[in-house]
This record gives sequence, C-alpha cells and structure tokens, in this order.
Amino acid sequence: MATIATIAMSMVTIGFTSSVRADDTEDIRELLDEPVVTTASKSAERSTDAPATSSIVSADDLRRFGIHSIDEAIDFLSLGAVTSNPLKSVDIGARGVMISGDQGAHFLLLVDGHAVNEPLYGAARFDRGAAIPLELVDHLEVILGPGSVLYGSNAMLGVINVVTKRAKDFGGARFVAETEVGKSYRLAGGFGQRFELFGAPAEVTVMIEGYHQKGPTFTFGPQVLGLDIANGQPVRFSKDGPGSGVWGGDADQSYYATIPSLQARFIVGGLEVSLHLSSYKRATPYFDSTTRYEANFNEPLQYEIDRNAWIDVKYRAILSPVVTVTPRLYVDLFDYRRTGIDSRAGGCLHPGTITCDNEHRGVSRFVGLDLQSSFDWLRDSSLVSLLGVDLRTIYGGHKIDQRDYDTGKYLVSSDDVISRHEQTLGAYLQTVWRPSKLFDLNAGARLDAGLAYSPVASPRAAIGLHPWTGSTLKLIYAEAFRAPSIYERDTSATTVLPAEHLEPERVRSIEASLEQKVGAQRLLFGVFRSVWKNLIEQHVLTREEIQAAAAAGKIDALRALYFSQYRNVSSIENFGFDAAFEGSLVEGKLRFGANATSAVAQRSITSTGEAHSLTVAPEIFGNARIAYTLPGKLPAFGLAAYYLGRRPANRAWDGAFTPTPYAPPLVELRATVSGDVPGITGLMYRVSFNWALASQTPYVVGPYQHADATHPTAELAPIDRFRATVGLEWRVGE
Amino acid sequence: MSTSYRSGKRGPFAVAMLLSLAGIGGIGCLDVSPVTVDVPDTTPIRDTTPVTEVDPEAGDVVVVDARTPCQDCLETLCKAAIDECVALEKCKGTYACALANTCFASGDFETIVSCGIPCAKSVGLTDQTGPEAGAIISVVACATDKCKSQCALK
Repeated sequence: MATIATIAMSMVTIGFTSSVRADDTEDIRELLDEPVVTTASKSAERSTDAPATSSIVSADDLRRFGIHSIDEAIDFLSLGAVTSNPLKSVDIGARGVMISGDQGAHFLLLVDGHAVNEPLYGAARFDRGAAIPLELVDHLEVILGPGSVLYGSNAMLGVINVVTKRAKDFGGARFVAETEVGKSYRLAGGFGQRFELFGAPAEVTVMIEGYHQKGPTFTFGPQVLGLDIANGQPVRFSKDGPGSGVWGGDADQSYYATIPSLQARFIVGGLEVSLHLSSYKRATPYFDSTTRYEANFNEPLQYEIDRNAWIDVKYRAILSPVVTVTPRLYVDLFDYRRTGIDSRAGGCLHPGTITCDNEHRGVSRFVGLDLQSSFDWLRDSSLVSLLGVDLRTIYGGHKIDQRDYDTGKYLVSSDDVISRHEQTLGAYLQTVWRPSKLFDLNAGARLDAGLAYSPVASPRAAIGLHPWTGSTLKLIYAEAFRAPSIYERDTSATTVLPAEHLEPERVRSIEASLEQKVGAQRLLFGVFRSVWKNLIEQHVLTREEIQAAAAAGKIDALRALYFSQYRNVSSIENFGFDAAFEGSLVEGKLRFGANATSAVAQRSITSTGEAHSLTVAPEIFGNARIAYTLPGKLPAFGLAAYYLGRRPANRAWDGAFTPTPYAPPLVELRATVSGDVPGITGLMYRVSFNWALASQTPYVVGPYQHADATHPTAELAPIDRFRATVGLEWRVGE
Repeated sequence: MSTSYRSGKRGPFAVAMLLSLAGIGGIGCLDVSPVTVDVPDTTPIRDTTPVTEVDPEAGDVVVVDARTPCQDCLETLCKAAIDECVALEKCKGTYACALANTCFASGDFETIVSCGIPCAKSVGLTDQTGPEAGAIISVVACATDKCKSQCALK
C-alpha cells in the first residue's frame, strides 16, 4: 500500500497529464491511466481509494475536446455534475440537485486548494468568469457529494479543484490567440521557469489572459405591457424616445462579457505562493426573476461586474518521518457591482427624473489561517491522520443606491446597507487507514462555528473494499453544510425584513458504488441518496405575517406591495444513480468515455408540505466522448457530446403558465481538431465546432414572469446554438 | 425566438484588457458606505407600477416575485377601475395599502372593505361619498365580481 501511495505521489509530482510519456509495458500504462485525486482527502491518492465519487479532467482532455471553461469541462467530460447556462453566470448542480440563481454557493470551487467561494453571497463562478486560463490548468478534479469534512461551508453538492500546472509542464513562454468566430476573442500569455533560489529548487508559473465576448444577437418578445399605470403612457424600456409599451426586439447591445485575469504560482523549497487577479463584467440580454425588473431592454450600460483577488501562502515543513505541518495564510478580496437602468415611470417615480440608475454594491474581504498537520503514524502511509484548524476574519458590506441617470444625483438614501465584521473557526480531523490491499477506511469530522449561526458538525466515513482484482466497492456517508451568507443574514431593505435565527443549510448523503478496472478500461456504477434540510430562500410574507410585522413596528406596510424575509424554508429529497465508463485502446491513441446520471429531487416547503421537482435541474443527464490521436505531428480528433433531459423552467411551479414551461431535452455536440502547425516549431492550432440541438433554456424571460390573460405562455431564454472556435497556441523555449 | 449572429465592434482589445487588469488594483475596496439624501425620501408607493413591477430594492441574490394570480387578475380584468383609482391620490394610497395587507386575498366584499378601512384612514380618505371612495369601492366590486377564484373570494 505504501508503494501505491508512493507511486501516486510520484505521479502527482511528475505530472498527471500529457507530459507523462508512457512506457511500452501495458502495466505501466494502466498505472499511468489510474486517476489520482488530491481533493477528497487533501492528499494524493488513487481515485479508487478516495472517499468520494470523482472524475478527473486532464489538460489533454481540455485540449482534445475543445474545452474553454470549467462549465464546459463539467458538461462534456465529468461524471454527475452539470451546469445550466442562462446567458450569464451558469447554474451548477449535481446528481439532480441544482438551485437556480444560487451563484454557485452550493458547490465549492478550489484553485490549487484555495477556496474561491466568498462569504457575502457564497458566490463562485464556474463559467469563463472563473477566470483561470485553461492552458495553465493541469487537471480538474470533480468530487461529488458532501465535502465539508475538510473544507467547511459551501461544499454541499461537491468540490471542484482546479489544479494548475507546475513549471516543468509549463516551461518557456506561451502565447494564445483564440476566437469564437464573430463572438469572442481571447488573448493570453504566460511563462514558466525553474531555477534555484538560495540553494533551493524554485519555480514560477504565470499567465495573463484577456477575454471579450459580444453577441450573438438574440431576438426576444414582443411582450406587450401597454400603458404604465403610473402615468398613463406606454411603458418605457429605453432611455431614449417615447415608450412603446412593448418589451423585446433585437438584443444586439446587451449581451457581452469582458474578463481580464492573472494567475500565478511561485514555489521555493516548501514555500508555495499562489496569486489570482480577475474582473468579470457581463451583461445579460434579458431580465428575469434574478436580474429583477429594474431593466431597460437592450441597454448596454446595464451590467454586473465581479472583481476578485486572492493570495495564498503555504509552507510545508516535514518535521519528522511522522509529522508534516502545513500552515497556510490566505487573503481574499471580492467586490460586486450591478447597475439597473430603469426608464419606466412605474419604476422611477421621482419628479423630474426620466431614468433611474439602481446600483447594487457588495464587498467581501477575508483573511484566514489554516494550520494543518499530517501524521504518518506507521511511516508507510498506511495510517495517516490529518488535523487542522481554520480561522477566518471576515468583512462583508453592501448597499443599494438609486440615482438620476442623467444628472447622477442620488434620489434617495442608500438602502439595504450591510456592514458586518465576523470571525469563523473550523477544526477538522481525518484518519485514513489502509491496512491491506483489500480494505481501506477514511473517517473524519469537521466542526465549524460562527457567531451568527449554531455550530455545525460535518462527519464523513468511507469504506473501500477491493475484493477481487481491479475492483473497488465503496460505501460513503457524509454530511455538509452551507453557512447563511452575510447577505442572507443581514439584508434589510424597504421591503425586506432582516432574517431571524437563520440556521445553516444541511445535507446528509449516503452512497455506494462499484468500480471495476479491466486493463485500461474502467467501469463504475453507483447509487446515492441525499436529504437536504433548512434551505434558505426569500420567503414572501403572508397577510397575517405582514400584519404581525406591522404591529410590531418592523415594517411600514404602506411602502410596498409585499414584504419578504430570508428563512429556512424548504427541504430536498434526492436519490438516483451514476454510471461511468472510460478507457483507451491502441496504446492510448484512442480514448473514449461516457457518463450518465439519473436522479430524482423533490423540494418540499417545510411549512406547507407543498412539493415539486426542482426547477432547472435535469433528472437525466450525461456525456460521451471519443478522441483519436494520430501518430507523430499529425492532428488529434475529438468528438464530445452531452445530454440534458427535459427540465422544468424556473417559473414552472409559480408562474401559472399554460402549458407548464419546460426546456426541451438538449444535446450539444462538439467536434475538435488539434495539432501542430507544420513548419513552425511550437505553434499549435485548435479548431472546434459546437452545435446545440435545442433552442431553449429553462429560464423564463421578460416582464411576464407570471401568466395573465394576454400572456398565458412563458417565453424561454434562447441558446447560442452554433459556435466555431479557432485558436493558436505558440510555445517558445519549452 | 430567433437568433442571428452579427458580430460586434472589434475594439482595441489587448489594450483594453491590460488597462482593465491594471485597474483592478482596488478590488475589495468598492465603496459601500451609505449615502444619505437630505431631501425627504420620495420613494414611491409601489402599487402604481405596471403589471411587471417587483420592488427593485429587495436584494439581488435570490429573488422571489411576489405577484399573485389575484393581483394579475385585478390588474388585468379590473384595469379600468384601477386606472381610475390610481389617478386619485388617496385612492391610490388606499389600494396600495390594501394590497400590501393582502386585503384582496380572501373573504368577501365586506371583509375587503373592513380590511381596507384602516388603509383609507391612513391616507386621509375619510369622505365616504367622494370620488376617491367611489373609485376604491369600484375596485373592490370588480374584484369580487371578476376575480373571485383568483383571489379566493367567497
């Protein structure tokens, strides 16, 4: 077992991806094909030994299949996880559970082990907004199931770790130019270098990337609103000209994104410093229940922007053959701004003001210290304990301002003002015991505490059995939580009551899987069941609740149509199965794989018992891929596809539309050719074509978020159906 | 729904990106200190907004649209009565308050009126024979006539 651990560590050290040159023997090929994960246990181990179901997406896969972002990697190549694209930040889910509009708060995103989800909203971006140049990515680890045992909040659906390349796999300089023809452009440059510093081996990798997308143009509506009852004139959806009373038309100015980013890592001896800088500006060509109604149509000045910076410094010190300590200090800075340009008389009722600019601002900053110790009790990796303490101090701030668009003058005092300082503490312990080749055990627990919510324990226990050659039988029990975000706890606006006694969301999961390896082929089948409690949602107060709140002096009932409050509202029952098959033939030149998941997820309102399937989340989804690499400098061909089953739109259950809106099943195909440009050393090309066979997503767009007599049916957001991408990468001095 | 693929302007992309990256040095320092406006707060009562309205100040993370079938019905089938009401300041205020207190959500004509009386008083609608009272009564009458099922009225 110690040998396996040593090999696993070596594989991580020498690089798991393309740079590995297979020897002639099939045994070594099989070994090199063995996926290694570092995320599930915070240590390198074979995926069959990891206490979770996982899939690995290698750098070769990213290139072979024309992948441009994490969400594409998830959809085309991973097992059990899935995304849904509303033409803005994608929703991400797993195993039938997807909580639309959660800003990625139920999936933990790591970059080289650094948690990206911030504490104001819990947000993490899994699309291009993640702002990690994919040429720098060594592999992605997609870990399914509750993962709070080591990582704390947000790891309810799973953990995705983006592992960047070491300098040996990213040597010299690299330049990338790529375009989705007619829609986007991407330029990137980076370098990697190994050297000695003060007698110790050192290395640096850095990459800077800029991405800009504009279009395509989508056509919406028309949705006829008629007269604005605030002034009796046709409703205005534009700053200029008279109102038309109609929402819709060509959205040719309002779908764009701009993402500059920098990702760097510096290593000397046991010291490792990672740095990230990015900005993610995007505009959505429609408005809906999450972008709100404060929106003109086709308004280019209406956008959202995240800015993100973090630095992570860790030092690994081997104190003895038994004890290794790894203190880690991290600092994260995040801010968010959203503008809403509203020219409707009913939305901007200030004398003399034609257009209101509603600006939302959010800020979070945190500093953390993670002290982690590893104890290799028997000095052979057969019994290893991990003990850690993670202390954070956090600031979260927020406000909403309303200004006259034309004059810039503030119209009212700031609303929804939040300014919160707090500390959280997490302590975790995990022990891995591998007494023989037949059996391994992983057990651990983490306790998280914050002043604003009750302490939460997140245990996990996993048993792995290997009863016959190539087989792995796993049984896993795990719990995870999501702490209420600062926004959910502290928001308090004209129409929003401050939350009272919000408890963390909880999930408990049990799963069993059987995996069989035969040569280079791997087959997995697993079943799972999870129960989610205390889901936090914005509850709309009933008449009695409004009256009680008014009587208590908590609200001014004359100020709004309705009042809401974040509460622990609902629960989810979820069960299903995963299946995966992957392998290679012809000495690894032909690679193929397929993943499938079928799951049922039922959401129930705790107070009423009302239950529905989850909106937006597909109950059946999966992907398949095949690639062939021709010998020598000839190209590689990759064909990948993913499938999302029919799924209810986000307004399926509360929109009263007839018929109930569903997004049709989606098949998306991608064909990619990549290889070396003949005659120019180090220059490589990649060309891919992407075709979606459906035209609608499960998101209701426009003013009619509920049916009425004139608009009984829902209009669903469109899909960008065809994309052609051409890219060049030039490696110099590799 | 149709899709076309017109490309946009191709600006000085690389320069813009570099400037953007250079400009993100203030990350996490976005000013969120509250602004105080000295003039009286003129935030409008939201009942006067069109069919599409949801309060824009309710947050930006997870948002629930509170429109109910009852409200949709009122603003569709009783639009004429509501238009007449909101043209009169006190009727508008009464209607807003009645909606906020979900006066239209259950009961019958009498219970709606009973529920709305404190609202009427709060906006100074005390003359029961004036046009404003007549307008709000027309709204209630329409609701009980045309929106019984949507508003769960008796």
